Amino acid sequence: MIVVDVITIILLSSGLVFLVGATVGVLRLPDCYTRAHAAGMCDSLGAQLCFFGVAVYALGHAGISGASVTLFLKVILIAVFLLVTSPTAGHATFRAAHEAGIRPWMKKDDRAPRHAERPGGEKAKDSGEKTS
Amino acid sequence: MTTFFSVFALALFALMLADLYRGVAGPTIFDRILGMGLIGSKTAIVILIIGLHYDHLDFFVDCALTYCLLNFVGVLMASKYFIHGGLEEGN
Repeated sequence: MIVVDVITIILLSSGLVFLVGATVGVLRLPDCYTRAHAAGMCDSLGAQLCFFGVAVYALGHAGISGASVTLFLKVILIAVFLLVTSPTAGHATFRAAHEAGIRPWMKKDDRAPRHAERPGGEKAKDSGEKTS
Repeated sequence: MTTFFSVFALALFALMLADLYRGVAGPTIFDRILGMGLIGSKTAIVILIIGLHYDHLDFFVDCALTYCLLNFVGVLMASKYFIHGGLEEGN
């Protein structure tokens, strides 16, 4: 039982690390395409690790029987389902963003909020217009 | 282990609050869809953790599967709906 607990704690904690990475990326990256990059991969892997931790705990603490193996397979089924659907949903969302005409973030983009709001923003905007 | 599960669920709730900020304040509608999708996938994990905490995972695992399905369909339909910024006129 101690071994099962340790494996569960390791899996859940490493999953939490990846979920924190996904959330930090979603909060701090500049535009929606880069946020899709952070959320699509880190969230998939973090959720996989968490589901595997739950499955190992359920199988290890209930003993090997028909009901516990069914429960284990159900949790694995959710994990596989999320592994397929999470990148699919992300891809569909940001393909829709591309079709809706949202431009990727660029360094000299005068619509980017950091360049528009900083004190010397007007000068940067002028140079951006000259180069474009 | 119940203490660990409680702390883990609270950490997931904190992450969901951080994702809720992106869902509320996202500059585009797609950032809001992304934030809500992240909250949905974390909710499935929290449901399973609650099932372990109450020692009745067999009740909760079907709820988690349903939540994953509804989250996927919701995100997909929302992104299809907002390709043109809403319903097109004439359709």
